[in-house]
Amino acid sequence: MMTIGGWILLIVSWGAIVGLTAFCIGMMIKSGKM
Amino acid sequence: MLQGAKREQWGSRIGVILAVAGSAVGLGNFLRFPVQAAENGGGAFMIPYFVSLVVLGIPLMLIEWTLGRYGGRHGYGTAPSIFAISTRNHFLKYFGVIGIFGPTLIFIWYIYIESWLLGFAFHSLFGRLMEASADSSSMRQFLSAYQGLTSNRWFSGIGQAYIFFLITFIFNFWIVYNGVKGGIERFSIITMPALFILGLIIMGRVVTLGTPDPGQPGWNVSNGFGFLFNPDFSSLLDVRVWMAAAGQVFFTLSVGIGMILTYASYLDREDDVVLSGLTSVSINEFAEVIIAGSIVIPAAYMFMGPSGLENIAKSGAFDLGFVTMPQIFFRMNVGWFFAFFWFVMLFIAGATSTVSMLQPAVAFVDDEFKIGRHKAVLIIAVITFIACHGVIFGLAHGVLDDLNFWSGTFALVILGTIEAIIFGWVFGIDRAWAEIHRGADFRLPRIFRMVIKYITPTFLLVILITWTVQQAVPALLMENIAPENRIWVLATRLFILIVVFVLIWLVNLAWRGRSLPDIEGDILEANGKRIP
Repeated sequence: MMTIGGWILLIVSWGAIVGLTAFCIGMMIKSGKM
Repeated sequence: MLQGAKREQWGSRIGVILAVAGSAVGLGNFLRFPVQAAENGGGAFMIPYFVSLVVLGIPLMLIEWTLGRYGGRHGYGTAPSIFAISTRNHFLKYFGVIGIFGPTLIFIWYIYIESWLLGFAFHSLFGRLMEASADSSSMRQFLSAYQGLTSNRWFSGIGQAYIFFLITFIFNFWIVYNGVKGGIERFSIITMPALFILGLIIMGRVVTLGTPDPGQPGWNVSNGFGFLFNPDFSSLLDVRVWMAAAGQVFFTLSVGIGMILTYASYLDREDDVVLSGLTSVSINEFAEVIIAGSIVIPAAYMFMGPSGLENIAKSGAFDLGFVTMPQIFFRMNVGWFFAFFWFVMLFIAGATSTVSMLQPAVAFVDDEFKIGRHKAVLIIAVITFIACHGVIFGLAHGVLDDLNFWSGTFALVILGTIEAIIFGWVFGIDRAWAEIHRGADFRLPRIFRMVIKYITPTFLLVILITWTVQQAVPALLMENIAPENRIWVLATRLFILIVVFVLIWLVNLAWRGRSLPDIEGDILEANGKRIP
């Protein structure tokens, strides 16, 4: 079964990727250059 | 004199980002990453993976975007001329040959595998794949007969595989023939969102499967994710795990091949590369870690169990994609639908990568010999079409595997190392830092200066030395090649050498009598003194 360590690594890795993607999209919208 | 204005340019920022992301998102994301993660410590693999991404993947991505844009400004889109003009060193252009040889040779074997995906998508819809998907043995027989290696009730020869190869080959060249903006960019804008939609649909199906076999309550989605993410922290002390993670980052981002250099050469001189580069990385990671990580290993665990999955992981990425996944999909309700989506998704991932592999060779012929894009595409089409037949008919003799190793593994590390050293040390970190931030939407943390100058080249040299000792020397000595196949492998290596020497001769021919452009203005600009 999924251990606590497994959940932590899943959440951290997914969170880092979703966070980076959201940051990039946000910056692009802010710059007005799509 | 700047010649960049004469060259084609991308039509939109989102277009170039999706094209670069399309180049990066390939079969390696969906098939190689899950196997590597499961084999190398599960969740603990993600730690060296993310470290490698930050100190190796992102810096190399930025180096290629920046050097490519710099080359495009002077009218050049491939590594030989970009290395020469950025360093003002004529000799370094010969190292750049790897940036044309690598992607072109990868194209020669990758396009054939891509065509299998189209064939398997077709047979998912029309039932033949479902007949074969009863067990691994019959799926392997199906694949082997499709490849023309054996003959059975499904296929009596290579005919179908060859037809799908022709369709795939013509389709790829048709996209490249239509140009950077009208072909590659338009194709990426349509297909990349489609790829993500297909991936999310398959992922949604897999994560909602629960416990598909009530007789095996432990074979459920939670345990499937556990197989992939439960950390084995002892693996962090194993150098091989770090090498595997660094290797995966290399393959997944398509860095060290030369494709991104060429794509970036079609940017305008003031186009941002920092945010665009990071966005293409984030798109690639979303496809790899979130979508691919949620499909392959959890699905295989739910239907095959832990011991079955361990055997599958050992049998390699292509076995997983072409043998295991169809069996899994056809055990689901409306399995043909998900199998079809799976192969179409992989075909899109493959096609957005193969068009990018063609571009360096096309740009080289077009930029250096000024014969026009359409003629350049036709010349490359004829050469690669002939070369592909060596892979198609030498498949059983290890031709594809040998080409894969030298072009798709070893050449990447060599070119990546050369790029990192040129950028941080010959081009110079001050100019490099200024060039990265030309037109940038935001500034990178200053620590990346140190990473690009010291850590990335050092990390790459360690990988290069390790791989040379562990893989290149045994491969060179043909230690794992069956005696009857050695003549085929030797012929493949002779072909590779001929390609390299012809490219060196062509680079020499193109630069005969040509002087390096005046880059005094670039240097002054890098020092903050803008030239009017």
